[in-house]
Amino acid sequence: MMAKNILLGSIGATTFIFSWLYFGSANYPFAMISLAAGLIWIGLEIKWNRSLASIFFLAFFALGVVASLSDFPTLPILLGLSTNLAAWDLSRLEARIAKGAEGDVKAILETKHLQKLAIVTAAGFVVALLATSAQISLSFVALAVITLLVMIALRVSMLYARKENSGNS
Amino acid sequence: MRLSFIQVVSLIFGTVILGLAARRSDVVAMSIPLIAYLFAAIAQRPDDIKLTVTREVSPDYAPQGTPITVKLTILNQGSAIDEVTLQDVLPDGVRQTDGQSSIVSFLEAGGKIELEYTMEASRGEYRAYEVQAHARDFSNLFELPFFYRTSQRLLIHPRYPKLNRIKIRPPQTRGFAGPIASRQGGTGVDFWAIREYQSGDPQRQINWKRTGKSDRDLFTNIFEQERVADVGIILDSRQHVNVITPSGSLFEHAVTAAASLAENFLEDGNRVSLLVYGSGIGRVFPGYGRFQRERILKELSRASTGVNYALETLGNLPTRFFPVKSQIIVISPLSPEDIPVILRMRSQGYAVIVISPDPISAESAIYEDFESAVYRIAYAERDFMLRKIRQSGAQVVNWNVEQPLEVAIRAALSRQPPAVHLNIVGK
Repeated sequence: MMAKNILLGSIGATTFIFSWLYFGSANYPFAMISLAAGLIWIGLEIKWNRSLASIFFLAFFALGVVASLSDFPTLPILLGLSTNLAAWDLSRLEARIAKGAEGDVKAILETKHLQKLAIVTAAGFVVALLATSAQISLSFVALAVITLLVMIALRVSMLYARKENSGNS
Repeated sequence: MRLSFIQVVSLIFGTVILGLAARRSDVVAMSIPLIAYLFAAIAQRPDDIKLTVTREVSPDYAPQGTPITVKLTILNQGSAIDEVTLQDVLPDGVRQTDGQSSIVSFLEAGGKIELEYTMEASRGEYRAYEVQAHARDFSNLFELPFFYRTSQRLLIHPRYPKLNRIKIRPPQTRGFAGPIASRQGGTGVDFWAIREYQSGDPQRQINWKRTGKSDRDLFTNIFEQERVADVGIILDSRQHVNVITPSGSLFEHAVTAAASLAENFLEDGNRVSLLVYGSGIGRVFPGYGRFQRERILKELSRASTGVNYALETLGNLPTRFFPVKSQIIVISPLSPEDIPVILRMRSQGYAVIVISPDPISAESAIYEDFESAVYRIAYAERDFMLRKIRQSGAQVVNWNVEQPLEVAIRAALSRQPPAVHLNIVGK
């Protein structure tokens, strides 16, 4: 039950942060989208319907990217993305344990999961915050090299995922 | 490929590329919480699962419909697993009635999970079970599936009704006293013949009426000896003669009938054997008593229909498996090609009872067709076939499986088997 409360809290926090950001900048369409998405997501979670959790997660992530490109303050955006990530993760956890975990096992599973998730999201948030405050200048060549490395990393991770998939099937 | 993994990786690279393209460090920084999440998942990714699965099934031999308790113990002999889903996959024909056959849990190194549930199984032999284990990292980005196969045997024999005593008269009986008229004079209950008095005959057996008609000789009544007999049951498991009905397949009815008959004849003290013919040849050699009943029930538990081109007709039936002049009971829906085999058994001296679950009635009940020309022709063809078998001296029970076997047997075998001639020995 604790995970469920935190899940609803995380969705609420995400909704509040993005709505507040967009209302504050008088961008009412996006503000309304944030509010509606958050409320629907909460409603679905209360009704144990978790099939659309990934779509809401992607929607809030997109709202974060738009907010970032619109020069909104970085701190609330990162906070919103972290709570969004936590909400998505907890929604998937609830979907998994609803199928077979009961009683004490469920409570312990939730507690362990929450501890790990808290550490990971907090670390991600702090590192991201530090990264935004750091100033480095890059030449065009360095930028091209970083882009190339990103592309290679993307390819390697996709190859790994494909190999993993063929190994499992 | 896990969708959540692809989603996270795509978002990370999408954000980074967008940030680089827009030359916005704050956009690139948005990918950092996701990168941290991905790295944590990679660090906690399950590499290998070493589980020991133990299964206890109790009881492992029971009649159909008995609650069976399954206790599954899963011991982790590898490293700790953040999250694991364990599911015991029930074989076909098995239904869980209570308890828990799947669980989502964590497993410490050396940890143990116990699952206990109750199930009901249809008749059959169950050997292969599968336990599916899916180990995951805490974020469910990586999943490692494992399948464990255990092979404890579970035998479910048919639940069958008890039948009243069935009178049979095989040409030859065995030496031990029993309920079957043996066609031999001696001590017994039923009158058998009259012969001249011999010294030592009990006085109360003297036939005074016959003696009165004679001038000087005394005559004695002798009675028919009652013995046990050899009874062979042939169960037809050929797939092409089987019909699936709403109340189960004809073969299942035939198996139940075979169990009832075996029990009935064994209770009377007879020596009973079983031959399952069709998908292969399963046999239980002749024997007496409770142990023989268990052997027959075990064979019936394993029996299933199947296709075997060598055994498509009853022509290859190993009739010599049964003692000569014994009683044979054929349980088969029958096809026209089987008639010569029954006639051959009769000519070899066996007493034959054919119990034939009626496929025409069964199929007509499915389609609710009792009027059409097709039904009438099929019915006439079957009637002709059964009449031909009856003419050979075999007894035939045409069994509509919608009615109990007892009723069908009483209706068809109510008359005594072919009568024994009375002999007058001597004058």
